[in-house]
Amino acid sequence: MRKIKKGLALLLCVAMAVSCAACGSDDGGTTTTGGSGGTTQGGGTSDDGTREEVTLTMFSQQSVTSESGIWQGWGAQKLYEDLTIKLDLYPTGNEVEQKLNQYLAGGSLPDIIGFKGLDQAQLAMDADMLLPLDEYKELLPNIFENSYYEDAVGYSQEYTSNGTGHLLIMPTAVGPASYNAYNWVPLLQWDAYKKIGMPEINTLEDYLDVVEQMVAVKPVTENGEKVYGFSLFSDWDKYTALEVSTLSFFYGIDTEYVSHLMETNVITKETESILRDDSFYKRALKFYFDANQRGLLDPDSMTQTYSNVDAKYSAGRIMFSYFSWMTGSYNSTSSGHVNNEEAPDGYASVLAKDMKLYDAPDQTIGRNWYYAISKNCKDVERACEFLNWLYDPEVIAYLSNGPEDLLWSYDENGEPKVKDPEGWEVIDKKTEALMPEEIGGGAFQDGVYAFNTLGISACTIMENGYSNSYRYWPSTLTRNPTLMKLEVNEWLGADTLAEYVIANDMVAKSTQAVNMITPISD
Amino acid sequence: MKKSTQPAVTAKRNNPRKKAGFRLFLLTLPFLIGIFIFSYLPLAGWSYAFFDYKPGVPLSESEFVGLKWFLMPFNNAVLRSQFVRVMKNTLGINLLYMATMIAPMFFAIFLMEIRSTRYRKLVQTLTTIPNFISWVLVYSAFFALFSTEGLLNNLLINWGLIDTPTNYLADTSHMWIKMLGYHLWKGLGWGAIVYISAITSIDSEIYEASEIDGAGRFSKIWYITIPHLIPTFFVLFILQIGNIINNGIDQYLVFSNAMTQDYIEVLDLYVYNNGLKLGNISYATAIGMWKSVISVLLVFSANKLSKKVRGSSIF
Amino acid sequence: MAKEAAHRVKRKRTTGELAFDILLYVFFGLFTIACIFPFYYIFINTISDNNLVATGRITLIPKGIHFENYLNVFKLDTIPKAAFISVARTVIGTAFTIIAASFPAYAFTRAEYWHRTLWYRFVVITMYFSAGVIPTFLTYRAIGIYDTFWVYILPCVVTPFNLILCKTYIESLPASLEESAEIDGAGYLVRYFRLILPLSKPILATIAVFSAVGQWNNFMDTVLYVIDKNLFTLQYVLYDYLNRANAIIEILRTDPTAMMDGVSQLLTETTVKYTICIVTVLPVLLVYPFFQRYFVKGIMIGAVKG
Repeated sequence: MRKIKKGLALLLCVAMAVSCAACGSDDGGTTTTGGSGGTTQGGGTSDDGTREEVTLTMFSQQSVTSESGIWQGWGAQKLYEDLTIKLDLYPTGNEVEQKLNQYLAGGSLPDIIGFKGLDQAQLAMDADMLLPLDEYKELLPNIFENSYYEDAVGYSQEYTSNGTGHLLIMPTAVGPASYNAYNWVPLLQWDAYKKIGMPEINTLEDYLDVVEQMVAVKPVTENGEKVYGFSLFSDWDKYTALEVSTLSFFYGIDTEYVSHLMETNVITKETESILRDDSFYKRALKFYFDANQRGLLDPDSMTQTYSNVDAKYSAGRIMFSYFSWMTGSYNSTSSGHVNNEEAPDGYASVLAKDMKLYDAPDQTIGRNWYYAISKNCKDVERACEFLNWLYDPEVIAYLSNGPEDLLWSYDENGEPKVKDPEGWEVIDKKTEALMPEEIGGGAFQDGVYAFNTLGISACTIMENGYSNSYRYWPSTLTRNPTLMKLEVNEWLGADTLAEYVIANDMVAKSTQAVNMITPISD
Repeated sequence: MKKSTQPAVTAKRNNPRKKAGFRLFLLTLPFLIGIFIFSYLPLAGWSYAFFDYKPGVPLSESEFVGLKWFLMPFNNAVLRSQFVRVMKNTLGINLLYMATMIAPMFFAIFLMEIRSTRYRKLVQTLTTIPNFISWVLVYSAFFALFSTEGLLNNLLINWGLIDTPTNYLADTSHMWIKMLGYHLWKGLGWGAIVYISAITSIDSEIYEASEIDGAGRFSKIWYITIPHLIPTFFVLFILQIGNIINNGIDQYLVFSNAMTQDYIEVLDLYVYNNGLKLGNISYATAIGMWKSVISVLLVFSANKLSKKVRGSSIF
Repeated sequence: MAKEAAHRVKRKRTTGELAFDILLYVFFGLFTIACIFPFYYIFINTISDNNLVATGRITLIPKGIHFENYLNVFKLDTIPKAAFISVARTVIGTAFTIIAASFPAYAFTRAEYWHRTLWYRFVVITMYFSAGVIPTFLTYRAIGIYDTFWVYILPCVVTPFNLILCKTYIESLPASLEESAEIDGAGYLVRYFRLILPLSKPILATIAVFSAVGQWNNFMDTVLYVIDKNLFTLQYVLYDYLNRANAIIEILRTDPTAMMDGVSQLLTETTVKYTICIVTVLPVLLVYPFFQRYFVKGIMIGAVKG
């Protein structure tokens, strides 16, 4: 009897597998023909009828999406309507360096390549596989005749062209840095800091006392989990303990872009070894050593990974944070802390008096993520057309904000504003397919997701006098301030952190020299 | 193998037999061609080890550097001491693994001693589970169990056995033994599959006959089962000798942290950290060649030794 | 000696053997629990309230049971096709591997094989070297299997390890069986299909398990050698889903200023990772007992008597 049952179960399994197989093969059949891109079903849509549909292949390593195949959604439809071009994306995200090596070794680079670093681009240049874009100037007016890109093009031709003087790789995110978003900011849990009377903090080491008191008032979370003052994780350590060295950015000392083993003070312009006796690195090590001695350091710091730490921040189990974005989900409105009417809480910027926050430089030469066209591209003309399209500020604005009057519009004063609430609804749910079908559908993020960075930086000021991306429009920056933020701003005496640090001379503006350092060759 | 010498002599005299042998060779030729294409043809890539190779640049235009990459680990004192430490870890951990290679065999033997078929199959299926879970997830589960706030610490504190929690994952004592423990936990049930299949293939008449002779349970194991499994064990053991400097990466990568790194950085991890991450293809190829040469030498010596000691070789 | 030992054991059966049996049951019980506990832990975390999981409060029993995590994973639209590819490569790959392991293994047991030792070594030593990823890629491209389904099947058809296992097994079969067939005038192929293949069932079942699990779990070949998304396997889709978060963290690490907002939302939650783990392991666990059936006793007796 039991045997029969077993046999039946097995039969069911097999039947399931077969039926699954059947539907799978049907799927496969239809998509293959649809996805091959060789068919020119779109020929009729173009105005003159002479434009042939072309599918360009693209390997964009800086993108985190690995959704390969034909680019879909409202951005893709714009590209098709403008140029009758389809983009066939190669899977990226995983093992990209390895794949790039393969494509190079096989002499089979895709038409368009994105590099996430000069060292990768250098490989392709060494192999002489990139198209000199300056020989196609007339096809690339948006790159060569646009004042936004002038310095970037010149610099790239001069210094990152492998000595050829050609434009081989075109940088991205050219323009001002995000002036109001400091990456390295000391954060404290606001409510606990308030409860201990908001003591003055004069220098780095004062955080130890403050955090100790804060842990004393909030030893456990509402759920009864132990609260720590500081917590570290190990998976980002390379040559130095990253979270230790990173504190140097509070004092305008760069320990990352110039060298991991050097400290470059962007104010005094001095560069010294991190192993020097009075180096900041040693000070930071001592800081965490003391924190550990006082029992403030999470004992799992050595063995946990980033996701463990992220979860702890989300639960409000750590008092101190050192990246402006490293707050887990504790600061999101949905977690119920920042707009808590009785005790608004969240991670708030609380700076010591002597700090000078490192401010990322304006990137007139762009960040070192690049786009390039492969020499073995079969249709150079169309590839140039595409690149020209990708660097068009209008297109960039379209991809970043969606079409005018859909999610945003100008008000009577000519100021662009995201539509409230219908525009924000789509933007806040940027991963959900909420864009209307007539413009191509898809999710809001599909516009930029395949590229990650575009030609000009998000806060570049456009002809209309406002930033390129909705993220830095005045109405966005002051949108729904949380109760915590209101309290913090009142305490700071400023509407934004940027205002506060500039007013108090607490900024160390870096120069873009950091981008000009060529990678150490082996 | 044992019967090989006798017919081989006849084969030389016997022409039809030789012809048959060649026909047999032809029958397997497709497989041999497959082996050639997938394992030997790519070896052309070993030439990268002698050049300063950058992908995309033809070898004819690359700089010939001779043995530079091969000698790199020995060239200066710092690298040398690093290399010595790494080799010590590699050999130490692998020797421990080899010393316990017999464990799956006994696991299988004793498992088959269990009379309840259902219990036996349950154990057999469930003990293979760890083999299917990637090391990264194993680590995340272990972290939940052994970290300062993990289940183990909580239980021990609740039971009043300890006062202050310990972070077991940062504890560096007996690192090799711990790695062995993880290794056995993950592979014991899986490794036993081969032996279980071998045991099921033993002719039950042999057992029946020995029972008539009055053999008990343990003497059946000792005089029938074990001798039957030893050849399999021996083959696996000799093959493993060739792997004595190969560990793979995953297990060591997930368990390495600032404290444990010194004890568990093995050769593969070292190459991964220093060669592959930095994109140095030539160096990684050179180390790979070192490993291949040493492995092949070791496995052939082991085979020779086995021929001398046991009178049978495995290939 | 043997008989003495046997008698001793026989006399003690009632107490000694009972104790031994209990010991066995207890040992295997404990080890099994140790093996499945982490798996169990992962499982209860996938069906418990995600908020409780995030704060690490699920340890021994699930709380707030729900199945949303599974629904979310199955909502990924690439799953059905990828599952089909995975099943196809597992079935086809395993079938190829069984033939490719057992036939050459049988051939290598025959002393008359043309330069047997040489060819056998030719096969075996491939276990100990690999050429590296780039040359492998170039080879696959040259023979035209790059970015095709065959890249899953052909490279791992002849696995020396399986071949050795098989050869050892076939050598342990009684030589008399084959000799009698040889006298009957049966050719190599006939002997292989009629005699060797049926007799090797236990070892072939073992190899099938090894090969099927290897095929099912492999995703690296998809990562490196496949571009066409119609050829993505289940493991790849899930691995990719897991790794998207790692890719984001990787970008953050190389340049923290690259992404400012919402890092936390972009990270794949631990619960999703756990769910994916269960989804990929479960099919293996369901199919494995089926293979176990073939590790059955008595095949030999049947062959000899029949």
